[in-house]
Amino acid sequence: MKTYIFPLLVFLNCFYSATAQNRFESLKPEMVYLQTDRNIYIAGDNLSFSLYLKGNSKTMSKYAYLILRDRYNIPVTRARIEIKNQSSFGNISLPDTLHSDIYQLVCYTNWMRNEGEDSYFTKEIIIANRFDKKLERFDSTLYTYPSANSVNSDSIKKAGNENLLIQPDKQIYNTREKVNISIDAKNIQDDSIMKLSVSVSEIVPGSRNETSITEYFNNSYKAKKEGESGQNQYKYQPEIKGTIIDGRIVPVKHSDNQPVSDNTNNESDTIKYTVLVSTPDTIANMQFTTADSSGSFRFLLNPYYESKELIIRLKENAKAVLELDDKFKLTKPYIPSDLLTGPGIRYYLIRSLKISEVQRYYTERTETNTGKKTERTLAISRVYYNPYSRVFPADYLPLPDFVEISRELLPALKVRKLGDTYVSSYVDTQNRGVPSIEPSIFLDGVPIDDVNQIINLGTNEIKRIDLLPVIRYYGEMPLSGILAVFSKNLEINNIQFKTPTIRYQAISSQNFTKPIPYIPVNNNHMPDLRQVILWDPEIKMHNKEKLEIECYTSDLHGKYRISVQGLTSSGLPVNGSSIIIVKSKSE
Amino acid sequence: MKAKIIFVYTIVLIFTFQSLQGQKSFSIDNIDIKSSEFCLTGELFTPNQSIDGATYFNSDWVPGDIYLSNGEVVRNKLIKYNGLLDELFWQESRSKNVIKLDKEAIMQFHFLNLNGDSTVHFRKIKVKRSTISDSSEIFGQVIYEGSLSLFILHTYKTAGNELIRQNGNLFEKTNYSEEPIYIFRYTDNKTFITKSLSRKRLYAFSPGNKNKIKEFIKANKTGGNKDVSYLRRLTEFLGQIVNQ
Repeated sequence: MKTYIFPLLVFLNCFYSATAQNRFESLKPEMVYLQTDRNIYIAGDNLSFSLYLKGNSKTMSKYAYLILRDRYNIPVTRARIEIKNQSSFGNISLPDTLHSDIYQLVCYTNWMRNEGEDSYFTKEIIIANRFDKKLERFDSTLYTYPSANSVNSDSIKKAGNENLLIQPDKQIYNTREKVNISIDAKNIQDDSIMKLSVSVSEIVPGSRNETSITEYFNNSYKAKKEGESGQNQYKYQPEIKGTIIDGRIVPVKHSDNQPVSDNTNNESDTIKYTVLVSTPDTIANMQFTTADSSGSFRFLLNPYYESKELIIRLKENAKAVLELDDKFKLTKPYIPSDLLTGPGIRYYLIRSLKISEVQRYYTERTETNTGKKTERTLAISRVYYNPYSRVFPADYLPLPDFVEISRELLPALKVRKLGDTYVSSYVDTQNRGVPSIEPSIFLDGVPIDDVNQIINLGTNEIKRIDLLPVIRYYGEMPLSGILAVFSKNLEINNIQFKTPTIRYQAISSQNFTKPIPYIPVNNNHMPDLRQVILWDPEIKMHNKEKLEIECYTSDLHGKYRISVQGLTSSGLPVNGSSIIIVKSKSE
Repeated sequence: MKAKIIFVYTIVLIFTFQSLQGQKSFSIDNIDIKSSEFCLTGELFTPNQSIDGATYFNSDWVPGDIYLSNGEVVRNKLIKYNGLLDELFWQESRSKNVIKLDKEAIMQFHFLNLNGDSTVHFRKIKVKRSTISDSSEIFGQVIYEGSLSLFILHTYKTAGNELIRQNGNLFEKTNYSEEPIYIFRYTDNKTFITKSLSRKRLYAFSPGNKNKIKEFIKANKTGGNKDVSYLRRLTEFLGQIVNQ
């Protein structure tokens, strides 16, 4: 017996350890890397970016959240980015009212929120306001712009862990000359397809070399975090299939409607509330979920609701308010680093402002290509398809209110006055077992509490009335008949709901956008002052293949960095860089 | 004895520990997917007269997937199809109520396992049954899909009335017998509708290929039993001879 115990225990332990590993594999934290076309912008410019996501391919997030915030932690821009096959790209239009300063880009997925804000990708950029001629924020001792040959070594040294070989056809180019760049991936031991983004931009003197994707993903701190993840509470779910909306029902004090912080011993402990989601529309629509015993609820939002104004409310009455999780909320304050305040930056900014001015004069603003759009399923969550009867009140004589309308135009519906309130019910004419309780009433596609909320609507306000005087089921939710009223002027916006309600603007993802590639024109006398001579975030490359790309230098002489970042489909980060010099023909 | 106890305790400990770990890790799947699922819509089925059980395609509730016309799929619901009414019914899991589903919402439905067969599925098709009637949308069982497709409409005709006593009351019950309608449909939506698959009707389908049809019937003698595999072979054959 003893002889078998030890090997059996070892076997069991190994077996379960392997099982546990698999389980933890599915919970692997994600990491996001963001590459921008450059680090310095003028307010009003477009900031182009590409994004790479590393994580478990089976549970990869579909969305990332991008915030640009200033040193006072005020978000300047917020965007949701759709990720396809571990990558994405797009652009942010920087408001032209931004003051000259250092800003921080923060990017993360909902799943990464479990790891805390330290796990978010952050990057600092400089934005200069075009009317800020002094640029005092970037005051430095060095006022002279370094010549093309004397850009400091920090700026031009190669990033570590480069595994792509980037070779331009030569080192020194004339202005407006074609640049051929070859990307060689022979050092990469991974046969999967690579998705790359390439930036060829003017090197900013005084700025430090930015962390490459390989360095970032191999960062030991992140790796440590990866190991610790199993110990965390998974409050936030990965958005694998779509948008997840989290929220909770917070009980309020009777007097001042203030949320009670401690929600013990409250109603929501015992009642399971139903949360309804809908949007004003010409079709009665609804999505619902049930809150748990602590009052928390979560649902995967139907894509149809994206970018629409949602009315989220409780079906049952409760002395509570609804609170939704704000995915863009950052709690850790941003403290600007001295990363971009080196000598030469101020002069570079002054020069960039002048370039921007000239470009505006010649209206040479970089356009973006928005041809590729996000695919969305627009399957509406219809509550019913065909009504039993449909009435257009405009076809009849004017009636002042809904009591009159029901009396004259809707024989199946009975509206009675009980004390100070009205109640409605369907008349069971066809012996269908319709209960004499109030039907589910929808106004402009949204479920409302009762008939009192529409009682003042007359024929002048109502466009259409749909009646379904039968017991209906919407999923597992029984509805004791449906009365759907559609108003001419979206009266739903004037309704005061009796149950806890919140209006929420659902966000949608950005389109995949990139600048239109520059194509040289013969005998063009317009100045070409592009500081980014190439930005292509959508390059696909098969391993062992040598890829050739091309671009054209502008009229600006200086040093340019070719930076290639990317990810293989199996999740291996790849990067490479090279430097080229552009000189004017006279130099 | 001591060793046995230690052994048992250790195994229990390992199981407990691993189960606890598993609980934590499985929280990833914890999202209420039901909330995101498209809801089936319909009305509570309360017929004035009881429906003859023989008119149901499947007499028992069978799990099935319902493909909605908006492209969404509602999976694994207990469904029943009635050919006489041409309605799909769903047994709501909580209340066990029978819901007559909105036909407009459904594009097709698949029975996951109907007497061991997982290929049985119905699709809503537009049919113009006669020259004087308008075309209507009916659920047809999909038998074969190709250059020529075959659908069966499970319709019923009255087979007579009988008086039966129920709860002490006498009432007249109508009996029905199945009268399938076969619809052959080309890819360009041209159809050939027939109630019989007799030699004569098949000749009418393709008058120029009488000999080939004759040979096919000779080679595939069914003895009157026209099962699904025969119907598939027949449709494939008819598709081939028409395309030649």
